[in-house]
Amino acid sequence: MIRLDHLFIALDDWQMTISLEVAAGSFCALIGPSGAGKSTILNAIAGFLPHGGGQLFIDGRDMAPLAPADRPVSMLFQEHNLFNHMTVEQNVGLGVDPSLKLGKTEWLRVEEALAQVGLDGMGKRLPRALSGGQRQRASLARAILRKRPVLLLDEPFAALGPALRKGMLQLVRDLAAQNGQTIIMVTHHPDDARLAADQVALVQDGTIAQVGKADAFFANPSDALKAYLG
Amino acid sequence: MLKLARRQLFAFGIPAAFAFLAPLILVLASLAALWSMAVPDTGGDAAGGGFPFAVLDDIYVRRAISFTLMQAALSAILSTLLALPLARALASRDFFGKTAILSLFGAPFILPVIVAILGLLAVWGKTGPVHGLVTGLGYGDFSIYGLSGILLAHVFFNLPLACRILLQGWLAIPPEQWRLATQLGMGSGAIARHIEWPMLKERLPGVFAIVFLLCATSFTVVLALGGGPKATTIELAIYQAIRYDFDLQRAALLAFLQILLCAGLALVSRLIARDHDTGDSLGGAVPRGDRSSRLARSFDGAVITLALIFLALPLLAAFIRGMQGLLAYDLEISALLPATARSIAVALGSCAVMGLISLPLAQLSIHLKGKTKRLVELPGFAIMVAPPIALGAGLFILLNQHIPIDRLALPLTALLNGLQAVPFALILIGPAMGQIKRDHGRQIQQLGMSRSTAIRLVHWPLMRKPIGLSLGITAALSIGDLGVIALFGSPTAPTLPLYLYQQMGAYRMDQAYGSGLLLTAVAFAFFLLFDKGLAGRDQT
Repeated sequence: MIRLDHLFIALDDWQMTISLEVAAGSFCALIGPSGAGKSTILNAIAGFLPHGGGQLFIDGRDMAPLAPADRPVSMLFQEHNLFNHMTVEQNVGLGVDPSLKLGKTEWLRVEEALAQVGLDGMGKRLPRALSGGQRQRASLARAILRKRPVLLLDEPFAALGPALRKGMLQLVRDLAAQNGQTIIMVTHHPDDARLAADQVALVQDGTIAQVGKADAFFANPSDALKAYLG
Repeated sequence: MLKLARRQLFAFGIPAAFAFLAPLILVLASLAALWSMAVPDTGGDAAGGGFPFAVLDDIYVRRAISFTLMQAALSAILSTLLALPLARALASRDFFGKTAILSLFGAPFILPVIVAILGLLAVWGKTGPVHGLVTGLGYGDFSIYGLSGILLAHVFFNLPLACRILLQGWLAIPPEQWRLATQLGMGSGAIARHIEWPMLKERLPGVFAIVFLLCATSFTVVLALGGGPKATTIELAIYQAIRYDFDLQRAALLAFLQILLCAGLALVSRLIARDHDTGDSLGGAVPRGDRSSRLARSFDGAVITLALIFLALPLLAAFIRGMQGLLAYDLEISALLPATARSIAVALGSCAVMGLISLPLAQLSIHLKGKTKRLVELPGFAIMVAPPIALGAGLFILLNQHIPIDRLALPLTALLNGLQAVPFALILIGPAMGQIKRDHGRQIQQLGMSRSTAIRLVHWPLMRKPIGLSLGITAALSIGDLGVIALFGSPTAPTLPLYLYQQMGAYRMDQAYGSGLLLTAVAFAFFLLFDKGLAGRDQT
């Protein structure tokens, strides 16, 4: 379980205080206007922003003293998930060993992970030879190998077309279900949240304006949600 | 945590502190030495009469100042005015060989200055074709020496630079604006007023400022083509005071003035200029319909052809006369080889200095935010406002009492050339490093890459291109340097450019052209060695 208890995040000129609970193994979507701080919440959970106060627990462990690499978290960014100068399999192999010193069995695991996301046989290519969707699949393969209990998605599929985006969401859901991962996803599309999420939260003006089970969330919209959805 | 912090201090803090402080200390120590020499402690104001005013009484100093400003202003005006039609022509036309012409425009940057001057002498000098033509037609005599030659050389070096910045401006105008202009039926006048002028208004002051600054501190051109009481700049006067008159007080006064002048100019240009990329994406042409008439087309063609002749002819002449010189005369191998070896040693030293200062500074600046970030620009700024000759004069005064200076000639040249390259290197390395942090910083943290792993897997592959280019430019500039070495160098142990200059002084012009070709070859070889060799294949 992920628990943010009045987590205080201060950026250069604004701040936010967030309380949120996400059950283990569930899929939580964060929606809201741009600039509301959705990505900031993910960056704080992943450890890229210092905690200014309040608490962050994942599975009962306090995250405050942990560096990003030591947290039980994998994060997928909107872009630049892959190093363009490395082949796809090298990029994925970083999930096994960040210094990329892999033995035969490890390379086999990389191949397996690539097969799981439907990229079999593309390991030797450079990222630029892949389509946008394929690149995000490769990042997903790396996340699989890292085996972290929590997966944070910072709009990684935003640049894809509607059908492709649906497919990716399904893939992420299936993989997470297989591995028992908890997911928090930032999205601009309320439809994505309806489609994939168990729980939805509306982030507005540096705070959580409404949160609930996906069905109930959209069935009983608050004024803020009504205003956002239009 | 503490252990980590300490390790980081050694890996990151100490090089950064060194890179930050070393240039500042060097410049400040040099300034202090200049000050104490320029204003001798006479115990009161009995003899001095106040530093700034006494200097201005000296007619020689006054002339040097006014000539410096006058030639720099004229050079900047001429370069900018000539660049206008040239950039517009290049922006409007797309033709076979345009990319080749634009790379030729980059050549004066790598080409040793003294070799370009040899080329200009071959075309515009007494024995050159232009002089023959003009006097033959009865238009009287003219000389490439003095103000006209200095202006000619400065336009030769700076026209391509000015043109590239302006061309970038034309190409940066959004295509929609051109389409709109066509749709509204705008003529050339309206286009100039509503589309081109707003762009030029932003860029022209910056172009003028940078050319002015470069010409105000240009040394080699004035050394070779100027001199004499009528055509002496402050830089040259410093050199003459040290080398000929051994009047260290005057040298110190002049160097102090030069630094004040440069600091003022740099501040002014900071205020009026914005950062413009002179990037290499200069292909393509703007889609404009107003300049499709035959008259406009032939005008543009003529402008481009003339510019090409003006820029390429001296290079061609230097090459041909260089080949003749190398073939017709016995090479003085016993002098050329050691001179070449000295130049290469100086260049490698400069590269080391540049790397040791630029890399930690670039790293420091991307890790800081806000006001402290501005602070990191201080060393680069200090280097920019203390031109090598003035800085060298300070070091000369500082060290002269303790050590015979010509023993230190090569290390000092390497040091000052390396420092000179730092501002260029920061422009190339800083953004690349910043982009790695922006694009991949969180990824590196998340994956838990160690520092050495991140360097091996991410930083080196992505940074080798800008680092290679920086090293290439540093090496080429240093190999071709005829500024610092003229100040410190011993005539019996010259570098290649100094040896060439000695040959010119002895009127052995054919040999000088030969040495010039050799010098160019060495400079380009090292540029390519670093730029292409280190940068490797383009992997991204």
